[in-house]
Amino acid sequence: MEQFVRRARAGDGDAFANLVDLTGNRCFAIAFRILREQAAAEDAVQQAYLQAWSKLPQLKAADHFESWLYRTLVNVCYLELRRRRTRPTLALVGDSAAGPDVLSRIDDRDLLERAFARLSPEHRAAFVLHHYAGLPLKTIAEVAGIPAGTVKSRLHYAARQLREALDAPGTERRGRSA
Amino acid sequence: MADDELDPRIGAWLMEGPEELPEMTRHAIGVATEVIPQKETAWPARTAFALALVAAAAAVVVAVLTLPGLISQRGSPQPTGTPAALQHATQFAVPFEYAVPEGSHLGEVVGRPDFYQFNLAGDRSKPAVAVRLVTRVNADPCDVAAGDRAIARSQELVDYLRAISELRAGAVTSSVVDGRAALQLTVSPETRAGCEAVALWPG
Repeated sequence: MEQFVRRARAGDGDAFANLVDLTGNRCFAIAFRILREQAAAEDAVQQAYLQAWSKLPQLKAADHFESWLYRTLVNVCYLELRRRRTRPTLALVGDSAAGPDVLSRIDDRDLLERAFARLSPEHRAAFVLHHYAGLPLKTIAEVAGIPAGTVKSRLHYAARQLREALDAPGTERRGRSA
Repeated sequence: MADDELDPRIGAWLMEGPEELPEMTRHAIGVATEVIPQKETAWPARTAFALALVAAAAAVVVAVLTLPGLISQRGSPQPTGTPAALQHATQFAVPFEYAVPEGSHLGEVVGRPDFYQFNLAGDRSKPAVAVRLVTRVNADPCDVAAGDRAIARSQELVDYLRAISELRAGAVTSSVVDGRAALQLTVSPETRAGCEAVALWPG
């Protein structure tokens, strides 16, 4: 990947296309999970790559490309979340989710979407980067430009909010007999 | 449940969703890069002096106001001497005014009266001054799962920060922030880390 970064940094569009091939799916999956909307995630990824392309000559260390790209992507997601302040879009359960506990899963998903929508953009990003993308605290700290301790706090807070949403007493779930 | 263990229901929900960048978006990126010029290299060679400035800027400046603690990170608690614009943090739990460099703007409020941040002009992502109201601190800064406890007085917050072995704390001095009596303490990360990440307060 570093070879592609060096070539793209020198203006090689084909090399940059290779970088998009290598990292595009992961960036899109992360953006979708932060923004919770497919169209917004596509826009965010497109914007992030165009910014990355434009600013690539300023990237000094080629081996830092991925974390630098994630930082760009996360910043685009922050702006999008603040601009839209959208309500969460609830996905429908597909056939693959069919099973004895489908209704419960629908309710869990609904609760989680609502709880996630209440989190700040920073909490959302840290949570997705760690629990979905598997990035360690140190890398997330680098991506977000914050101390690792702050990342740790954000992860703990976000996980607790989501868990409390699921476990809140009095939460009524459809499809469960009294 | 260990801190890093995620509820399986949350884990399953997080894994759901698309994972493949649509071809149309991929194509649009390729087309756009053909017409968008790259910006010239903007960074000068870093000198030891520049690195020292970065290190200094990374130091955390703490100002503790009345009850409970008010923390200012990455910035001077005093109004700046450079051309400045006065910002008003009216939604903050303790309303205050702050002089920040010209062109800076309110970065985020995130709907909370306990957090305020101003960003530098030209880069919305970089916080210039972050102000936070601290009413609780983590019982164990190395283990967020250990719970938290209330902070009742500003001196308690200072004592808490000074007791953390992963932080290097300077002398506590009296200060004034927006007309309020304050305690000022500068802390920076200790080079020998006792744990992977120090988390001072919840959230």
